[in-house]
Amino acid sequence: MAPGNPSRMSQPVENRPPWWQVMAIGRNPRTTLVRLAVTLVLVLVGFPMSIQPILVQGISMQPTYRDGQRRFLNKLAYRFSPPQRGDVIGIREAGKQVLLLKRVVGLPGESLRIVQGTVLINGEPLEEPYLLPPTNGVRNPAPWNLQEVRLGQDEHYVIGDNRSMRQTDHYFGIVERERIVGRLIRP
Amino acid sequence: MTMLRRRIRSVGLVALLGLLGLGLWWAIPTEEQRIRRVLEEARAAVSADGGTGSTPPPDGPGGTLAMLGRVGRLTRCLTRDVEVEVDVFGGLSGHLNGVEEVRAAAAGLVQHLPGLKVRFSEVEIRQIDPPGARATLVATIDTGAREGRAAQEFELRFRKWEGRWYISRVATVRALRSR
Repeated sequence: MAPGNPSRMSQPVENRPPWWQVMAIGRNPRTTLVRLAVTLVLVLVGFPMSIQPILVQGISMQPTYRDGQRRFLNKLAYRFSPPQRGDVIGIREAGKQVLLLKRVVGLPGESLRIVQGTVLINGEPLEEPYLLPPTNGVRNPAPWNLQEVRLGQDEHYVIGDNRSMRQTDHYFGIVERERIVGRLIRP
Repeated sequence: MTMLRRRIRSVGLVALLGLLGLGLWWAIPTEEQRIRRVLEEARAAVSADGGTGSTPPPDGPGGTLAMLGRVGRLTRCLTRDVEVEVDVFGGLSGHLNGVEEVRAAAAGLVQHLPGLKVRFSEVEIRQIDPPGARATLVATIDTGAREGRAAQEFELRFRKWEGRWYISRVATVRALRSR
């Protein structure tokens, strides 16, 4: 300690806030307030704009996604690039809260048909490694058939991963780009 | 003192003008507000919790008179040639043509589902071009039964006649189409 400058050592000790105050609002309340405001803006504005939590209901995406699972959608995924084949997407079904979860198989401008369960894109068979064998032993995909469909410029073709279902029981088809909410974030 | 009085007077004037504006806004609604009122009338008529604001019917809120009253209120929101197109995957599908068919269907609906509650959300009046207008909305339907809750998007068309908007077409909207 320098004898000519004793106040240099004692001053910070005198101004130090009590420990409970440091725990509650930090050493500098103003900085804490700014941090809190930034966090609140991120949580209240940024989170709903970019992420949407979803609860999987139904069996059309089994066995990839099961009934009752909780997942998140990336709502910014298609802001700068279009949906890609194989993406699992959320589709606006009834308002902003009721969504369909489906996989993109056909892209704008393509022609698509299904022959005995095999999806043909512009006449070429589509490889679908995501079609896992179902646990009930039924073939996946089941022998579905669909006449040729030509997709428009803003249209995508979507189907669920559970193709062991009866074709008439499975909700699939053409979706317009404006109805696509985002891409599922893989766990 | 004079300064304070002047300030009070100017604040009072601003408040008065604000109230006047609010009154005018309420008394002279825009076309969109008129359409929204028709929608609310239709919703209240279908929904058991709609509330009439009038004298309750003598046979109670769930009685035949009350149900007829609800159906009557609904049909007052519709054009005579109203069309209803329903196509829900794995559910109802059908077509109703004319107010009489809708009246019969609505009577059956309120009779079989006395606890039916309907709520409209995300109402978007898309195109107002008198005498026509379009709107989309999400109807949340609660039948009161277990797992009897569903949401469905609808597209509606309106027609203006003698200064009042009427619903001329109601159709369900499907997210996925076959073509």
